[in-house]
Amino acid sequence: MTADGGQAGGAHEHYLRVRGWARRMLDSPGQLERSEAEQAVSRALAPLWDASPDTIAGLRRWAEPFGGASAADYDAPESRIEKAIRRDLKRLFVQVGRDLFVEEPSILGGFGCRTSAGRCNADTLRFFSALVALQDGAVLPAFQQPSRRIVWEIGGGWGGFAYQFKTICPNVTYLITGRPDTFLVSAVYLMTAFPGARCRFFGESSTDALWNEWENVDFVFAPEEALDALRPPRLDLTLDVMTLRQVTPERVEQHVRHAFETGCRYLYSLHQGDWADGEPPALWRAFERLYWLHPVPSRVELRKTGAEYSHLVGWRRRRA
Amino acid sequence: MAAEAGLTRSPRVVFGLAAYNRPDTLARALESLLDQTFGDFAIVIVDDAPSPAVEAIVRTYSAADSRIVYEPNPTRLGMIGNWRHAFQRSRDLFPGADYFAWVSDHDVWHPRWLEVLVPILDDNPRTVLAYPQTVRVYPRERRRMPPPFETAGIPDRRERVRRTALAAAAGNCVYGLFRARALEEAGVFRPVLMPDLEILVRLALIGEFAYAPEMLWYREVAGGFSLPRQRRMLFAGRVPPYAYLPPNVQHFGLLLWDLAVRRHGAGAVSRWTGLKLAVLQLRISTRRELSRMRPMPAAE
Repeated sequence: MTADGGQAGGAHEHYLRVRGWARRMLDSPGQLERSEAEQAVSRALAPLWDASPDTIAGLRRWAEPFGGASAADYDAPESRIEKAIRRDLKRLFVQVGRDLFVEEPSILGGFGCRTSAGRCNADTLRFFSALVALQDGAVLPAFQQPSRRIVWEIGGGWGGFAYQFKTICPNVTYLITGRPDTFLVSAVYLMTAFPGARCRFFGESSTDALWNEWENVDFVFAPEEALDALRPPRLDLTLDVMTLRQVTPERVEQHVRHAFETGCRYLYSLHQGDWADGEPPALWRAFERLYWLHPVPSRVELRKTGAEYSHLVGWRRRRA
Repeated sequence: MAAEAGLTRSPRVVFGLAAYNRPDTLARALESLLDQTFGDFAIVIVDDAPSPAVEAIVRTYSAADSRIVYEPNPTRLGMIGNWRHAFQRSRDLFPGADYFAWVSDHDVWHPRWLEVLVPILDDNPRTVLAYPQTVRVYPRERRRMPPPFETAGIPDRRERVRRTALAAAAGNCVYGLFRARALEEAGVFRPVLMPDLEILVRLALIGEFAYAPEMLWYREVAGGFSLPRQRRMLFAGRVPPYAYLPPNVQHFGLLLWDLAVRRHGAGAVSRWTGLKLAVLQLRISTRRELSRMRPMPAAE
């Protein structure tokens, strides 16, 4: 299902489809108030509302506003960050092997340093460590089984984690909710990376029809405003890859409650930064009423490549 | 609150929960068991320190789940007695169950614990114990335990005993999933110090131990290990005089008595072989204890 290296055929067509849908979603009533961090991302993405085919061919370079890796950091060979990536990657490979590593594809301007396992940048490494944490949290094997599962990523970033997860666990239906403008990057990236993927967009059919024959659907894209209307037939894992840290406590509560009420068994959260005095981050405390918190011990501190990360797997409580 | 009537047939697995005054953690432990993705099990709670708080928690869950049986002990049995009682009541109530696991009122079991371990025992008739990787939970951090040992695929019982006496992390293994009949044959918990290691050596005579390389058990670590602490916890009343001997000597005495003299749980082992196995256990466990006592080299 994955695009061949260097081929981005149809990316601009995907973009036109996503842009039309995103505009309609933005014009819908009931838009949420955005945080300052979200507004900053929206401002940075504003040129993408009128993007040429050339711009879309280099879409991967628009991931930086999401807190993603900067392509410029990799322009110089053997830069400091490249050395750090090689070192951290090697340490992770020694501990956990290469099975969960997914290299940065060359499509849409993919970048990174060349390693023995393929192209890799700070995002690739960060998402790899998240997959390792999901493996260590004994969650990932549940998504590598024959029975189809539904995964929900809050926000979705630029689509990089969804790409890695869907590559490692193809037999999932992957739901992303977020701000409509972010799908100009994430949805276009994923539709290009998986050219055979079957995708659905909230609002293109009736709300009930969104989940018809869901086992045959690869990606479902929906604006955050539609959260209450999203009633998937099952929900097995909710992912927060550094998205909820940007939103208000009320919206955090809304997302976690939605996961809980939909019966989602596991919740994963990636946090940037160490714990202060051994106490979990305030964001994770907000999960605690509905999910038992199980921090996953880090395999490797990725501080050389920019930051330390903490991983959490939450198990749904029986009683709220 | 005996709820066996709530189950229409014998479950495949029984959890024997030996409770002792942990109302602060009991709900979390119970939820982790009730949320197993493999649902064909019962939980038999034997409570060695009954209190209204513990009973209230159990009632909250048993009201909605007929798989829970709760039995407070009229008098304190001590840890060994309570563990034996947990197993015995589980067998009394559900004699048809294939597998048994001791569980505590303060640790946590991953929802996939049974999903992963049951197939290991189902698929390997020679395996008597399956256990996963452990995460040690300290008040302010969690640590992965190093990959433990296993004896899967080792048909020679002498080699299994040797490896078990030398390398078994008994405190982790004993919270694994057991083949119930093998446990019965081995003799459950004996009144000695480090009874978990003793029963593992005995089980090694009967079959193999398999290790699942997934982190499926979260073990609370509180207080360090010490023999005086064990004596206080394990025995309800007076500590028997032999409990002041080194644990491996106590284990040797039991093995010698059972295998070479009484012929209990010896299976096809002759008296002479039983004697040799007991001596092997003593030799290996002594080496293990001596290596533990050896001072660590000073850091440079």
